[in-house]
Amino acid sequence: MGIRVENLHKSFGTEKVLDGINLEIPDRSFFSVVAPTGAGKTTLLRILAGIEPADAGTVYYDGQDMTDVAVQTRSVGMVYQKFINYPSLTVRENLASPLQVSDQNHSQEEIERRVQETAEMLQIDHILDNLPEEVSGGEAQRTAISRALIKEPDYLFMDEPLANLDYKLREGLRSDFERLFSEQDTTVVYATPQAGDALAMSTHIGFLHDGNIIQAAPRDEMYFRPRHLPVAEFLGEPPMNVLPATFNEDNTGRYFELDDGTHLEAGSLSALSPGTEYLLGFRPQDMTLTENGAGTTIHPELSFVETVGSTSTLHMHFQGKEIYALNEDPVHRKTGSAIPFALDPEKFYVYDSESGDLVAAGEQIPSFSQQHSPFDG
Amino acid sequence: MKQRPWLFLLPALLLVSLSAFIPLITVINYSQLTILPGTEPYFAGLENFVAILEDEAFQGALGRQILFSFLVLITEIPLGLGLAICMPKEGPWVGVCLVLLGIPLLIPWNVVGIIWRVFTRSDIGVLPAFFDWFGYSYSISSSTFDAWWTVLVMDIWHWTPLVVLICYAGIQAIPKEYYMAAKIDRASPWKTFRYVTLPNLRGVLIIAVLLRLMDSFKIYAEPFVLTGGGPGSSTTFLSTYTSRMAIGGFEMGRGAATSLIYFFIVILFSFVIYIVMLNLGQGAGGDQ
Repeated sequence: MGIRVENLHKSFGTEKVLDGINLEIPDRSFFSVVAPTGAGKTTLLRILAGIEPADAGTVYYDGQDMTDVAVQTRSVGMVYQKFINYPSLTVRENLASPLQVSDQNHSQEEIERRVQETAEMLQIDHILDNLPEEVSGGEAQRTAISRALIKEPDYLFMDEPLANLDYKLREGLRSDFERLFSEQDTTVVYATPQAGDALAMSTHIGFLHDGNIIQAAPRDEMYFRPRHLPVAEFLGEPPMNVLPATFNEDNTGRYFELDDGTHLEAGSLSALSPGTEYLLGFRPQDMTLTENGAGTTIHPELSFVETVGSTSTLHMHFQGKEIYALNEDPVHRKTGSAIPFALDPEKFYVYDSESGDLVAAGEQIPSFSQQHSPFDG
Repeated sequence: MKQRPWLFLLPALLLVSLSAFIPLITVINYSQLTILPGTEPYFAGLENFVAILEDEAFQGALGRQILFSFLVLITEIPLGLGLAICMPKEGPWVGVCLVLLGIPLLIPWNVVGIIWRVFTRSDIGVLPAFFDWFGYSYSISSSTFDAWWTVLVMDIWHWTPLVVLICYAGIQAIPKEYYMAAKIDRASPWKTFRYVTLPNLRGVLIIAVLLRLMDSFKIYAEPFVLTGGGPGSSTTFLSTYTSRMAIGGFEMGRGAATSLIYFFIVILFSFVIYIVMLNLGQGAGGDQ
């Protein structure tokens, strides 16, 4: 019951929002469409659900062309960023409404049973007799999600459902989602600008950039093998650090030369041509505080430290760019001081400075066998 | 220093007291007096109020007023809402519709009266000529029925656009997601209207109803110009009655008392309607 998308186009006026999207969403996956705000996620979701027509291209549900199938006759549910419930109906009536109008004639007892079940699953059974305006934002959104789930749709589309909730409610619903959808037979398509949400909940992630899905893969592969720079820079909290660096090899070895003349060992990274400028990526988690300025070390300047519990996020300046480092222990250093960090070349990502495509990745990074991988040899 | 906020309110308070409060006190004062031209006013107590409430002309005017306002509301609100729903939601036609709707609202009341007076003249008017085709002899000056429905249609023509504009703004403010959700739920157009549009427009509709109620209660210039309150007193409404009492009849005390009664009736009706509408549709989901 997966979704396949072929060559999907959509423009609003002269603005091309979706520009030839090809996508495969596996059956029963939790598929996150990740992109910054305004990239066309909502439009893509609406076209997939059948609420909005595409200019060109085809959407298949389970291999079946859905172009001429109206949204009313599809087995879909949708949850929006705004909390959409019928304002004059109680939560109970809101939950019952999708069943009451459906083709299959549900008996009154069955409707009541399913309302009760769904309400318990989403922990809103205590507000069933309230109006939507009388409940909190989190409860209103749980009601909207229940409304979508009660039909047991084959496909569920969620468009930034957590965006209007505060931090604590977000966390609560996020863990609910993981629990709920591992049990359901539903294929979930989830749009979010939050890399953290996508990485926490999804089984698969697709990255939307300039009207195209530039990479779609299982979650860990997306994280460990971002094949294009925008994906690398977006997926990760804090984001991956990227520095321009020129690859060279001479009698001292193989190394990257940064703009300030610093040499970083290139380790066993292959498929690099000497004298070429690349973009060198490394994750904040892979930077190690060091005391001796040996080999592969950089000295960024500290802007400020953000400490949550025992983990510190260091915000730093290096060669006119902002870079981040994560440290397991609290860090107490003066703002403006240069901090030595050791980098492991086996955890480097090397991107082409023109196209932004992944050229090489360090050996220590978990690898994935992929048939179309550009760095297969 | 605690008093400082009051300083900021002072100019507004002064203005309001000059423009509304002091005149109101004056009217209350007058309503207690018998004022006849050429003599000293003397205290009359509640005499004026009693006399007016017992006056058949007043009772008649009040009855007509309530009927008129009732008819105005039950035609203009559904009609305005319907038109607002039918209006295009985007594109170049929006501007055209808004301008066309705005035109009646831009015309001063007495001009509206004059326009309709020309329409209804027995010698050159469009309406009598039109009805003549069907063999109906239309006469605004001799037929109570003709005078009534003409005043009503004139008010509908003049003020329905206001309701349309208010409702249209309200409809535009309803998030599109509501309609998508209703569509996915396979809700019929009627149910979509009943459970999405109507509840979301409740606040806006309360405003429209109150505005139209108060305004229709105050109707004066149009029927004054069109029918002069006739034939007989068949289109004499409360405002016409009041002004006749105060200015035409030189009975300032009575006029002031009428104004006050009039004032309280408008407040009372508005309040009742407001309370009723506020509670209407709350949790009313049982009838699906």
